[in-house]
Amino acid sequence: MLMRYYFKLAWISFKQTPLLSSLIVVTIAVGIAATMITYTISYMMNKEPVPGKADSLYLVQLNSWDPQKAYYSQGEEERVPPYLTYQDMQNLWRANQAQRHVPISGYRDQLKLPQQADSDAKTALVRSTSRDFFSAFNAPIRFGSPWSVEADRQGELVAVISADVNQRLFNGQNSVGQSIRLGALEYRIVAVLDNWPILPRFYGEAMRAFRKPRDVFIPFEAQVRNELWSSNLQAFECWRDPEDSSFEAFLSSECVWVYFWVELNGPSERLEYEEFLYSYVQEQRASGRFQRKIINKLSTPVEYLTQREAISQDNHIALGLSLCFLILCLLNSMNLMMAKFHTKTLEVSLRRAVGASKRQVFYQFCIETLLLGTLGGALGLILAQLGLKVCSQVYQHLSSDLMQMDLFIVVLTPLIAISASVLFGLLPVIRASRIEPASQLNSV
Amino acid sequence: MRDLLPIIKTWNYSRTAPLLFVLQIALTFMILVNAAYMALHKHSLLSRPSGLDEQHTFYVLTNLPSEAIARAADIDQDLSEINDLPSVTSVSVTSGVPLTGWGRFLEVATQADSEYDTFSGYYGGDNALLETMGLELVAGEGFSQAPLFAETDGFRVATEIIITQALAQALYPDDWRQVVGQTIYINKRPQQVRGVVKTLQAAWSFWAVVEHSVLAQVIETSEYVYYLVRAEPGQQAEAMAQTIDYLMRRNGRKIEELQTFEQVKQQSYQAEYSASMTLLWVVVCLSLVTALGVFGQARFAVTRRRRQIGIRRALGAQKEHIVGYFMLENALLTIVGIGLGCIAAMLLNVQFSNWFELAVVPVEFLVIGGVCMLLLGQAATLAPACRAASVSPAITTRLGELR
Repeated sequence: MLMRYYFKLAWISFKQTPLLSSLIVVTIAVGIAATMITYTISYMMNKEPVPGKADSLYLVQLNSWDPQKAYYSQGEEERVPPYLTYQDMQNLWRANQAQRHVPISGYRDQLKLPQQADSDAKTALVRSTSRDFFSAFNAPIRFGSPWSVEADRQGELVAVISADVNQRLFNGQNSVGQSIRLGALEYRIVAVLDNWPILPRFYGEAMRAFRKPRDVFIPFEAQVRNELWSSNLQAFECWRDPEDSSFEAFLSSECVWVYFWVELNGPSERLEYEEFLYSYVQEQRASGRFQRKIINKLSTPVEYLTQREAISQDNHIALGLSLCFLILCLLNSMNLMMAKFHTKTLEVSLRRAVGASKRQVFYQFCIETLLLGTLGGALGLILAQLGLKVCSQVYQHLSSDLMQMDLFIVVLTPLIAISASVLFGLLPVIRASRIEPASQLNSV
Repeated sequence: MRDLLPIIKTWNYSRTAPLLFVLQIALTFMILVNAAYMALHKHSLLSRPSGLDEQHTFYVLTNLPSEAIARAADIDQDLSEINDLPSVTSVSVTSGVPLTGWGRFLEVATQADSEYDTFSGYYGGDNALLETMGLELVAGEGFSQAPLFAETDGFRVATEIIITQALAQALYPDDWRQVVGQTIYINKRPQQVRGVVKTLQAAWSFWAVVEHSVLAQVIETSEYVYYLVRAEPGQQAEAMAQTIDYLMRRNGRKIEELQTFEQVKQQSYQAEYSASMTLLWVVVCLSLVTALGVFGQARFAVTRRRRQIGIRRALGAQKEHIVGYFMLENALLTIVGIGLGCIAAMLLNVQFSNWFELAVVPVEFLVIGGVCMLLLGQAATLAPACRAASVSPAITTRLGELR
């Protein structure tokens, strides 16, 4: 009962000093909004990309580089390329020692329906990979199912398309069994993906980790067999030139360009796979390759992104700055609360004189800061949503999925606002509750 | 100034409020200075020259719809046709475009058998490349031979190169001009340096050696080629339309990319641009919140001291005295806050620069920031102080008035 009365009192007091009270609410809201915006972006960037698979997905890295010099060295430490040669990828894939194998490459071509005119074609980014891609990275499938093992082996012309492409070409209808034309080739659609906000998109180039997944997915062998190559899309590095300029020569060369991910369950499988890699490299060594020190690396998505410095320091700086900003706003609101409570000296001394205990006065003012904090938190949440909208405009190079709060953050925001404002309100509240009874009454 | 003593005495009388105020100013100052410095630092990256004639240049990435053997002739024809367009100043074929995020990098060494000394970006093109890019030769001379041809990796067949001044300085730190005429080793192949250009950035804006570039006169006849076009001033849109119009006349032609260099630059520096915008927002919001806070507190102080103000007025103080008192009080507290903030900023900055590889904030920033902070505080106090001055001296006659 008394609680309700305190809330009523708090609301009356809010209306008595509208300017001061609104200033307090706005200050808290601005601080909360700024912090939550930066926190959201940083939280979404550092999120585990595939939930539940933090220690079962690994990027395979081998040291197949030039015997004469290291791929890259930092001080004493020697670094290995992030990707493999085509032949190593093929050998590891065929050996089939892991639960799932996901090679990553791609190209770019003109995408249209077979019956559309050439002028209607739009450039599409194609991801060439394996059927395991979808199960290993938990890609949600709306219609159909991934291509078969046979399709992987034979390089069949089959494709999985993104929800966006399905919307554009087929109005969102189930398009499984239909065909699309990519450049000169016709692919049969076997599955359509659902919206897939995978963040960070760890599996390809680290530089593009905060972009959306690609439009079309095809078997790796389909790209290779049809010699599809976009010279200014797919990065590759060679320490020795291919024999000639043909595509076969490139495939059998020492050029590295295929990212290769494996899924391994548990530390024992990981250990076994490491042993397998070691024996594989030993074998290759015997035949004249791999003349450098043996460095076989299995990196988790987070390790890989950290290694490639995909997550920039700017983020941490921004988070630190916004935290300071929140503290500042709270200090500010603390000052304003002091001012607000000071205007109530008379009221407190009167309440104390007619029998209210210190504790009751303390509660009353706590409820008041609670009210201010709640209002500030609610306003802050709205401001943060608006801010994120603006951010997705400004940060066009990042996927707009980064700029979305999930339920956790939506709940967290008002909680932080309320607890922080109550905490910073303590000093003014304690000071107000210390007022002696009837001390001010003589002046009435 | 004779208000000085009473002001300091009041601090002793009630300590919490001024202490909080000082703390708030110190913290604000610290963040403000750091954020403003970072924003400016990011912004300075944006304004680095790329070396190109940025406002008038665009590029198109297109295919050569013919057999490998006929491509050299195709390029030749395309170049001469585009060059004849009235809106086009100059056109070149090139192996890459600065800042696009896609390009080739090379190892550069001064000795044949040594490890590489540094890295560099690479562009290969025809005779007109220097003119199309708008590069300024600062030593040596341009290319003399007719261009060579290669299917890919033109630097393998090149014999003469032109390098940027930054690269020359990295190779010959004592006197970079001596590089002209020297033989240097590009991916272990000897090349003669014919000239040095002032600036030309490589393909990656974030690269540590983005200012290092090597130019060679080799036309690459791969399936896709970049045409770099420099338009007459004010006629870029026409030039783009006419170029595409010409290119599309050919059957089987595809335009993969078409971008003005300004777009390229904007995309390349998107991260820096966004960061500097965000930091600017931080600065603006921070100033606003602080100003509001100072305003609120000053107003409160005035309300609390209404009677004292009335008494002073009754005893003969002018309105200016009352305004002066509040302004001086604010100024004093702000200066103490700034002083504290300076120390904190410097301590924090040392830590920051250790953690984040940031440069230390220069002293001018602290000075300018301090002055701005002081002005901000004064501006926020002015309105409440004027309100204080309008308190009627007659208020003293009303005993018991509290608010």
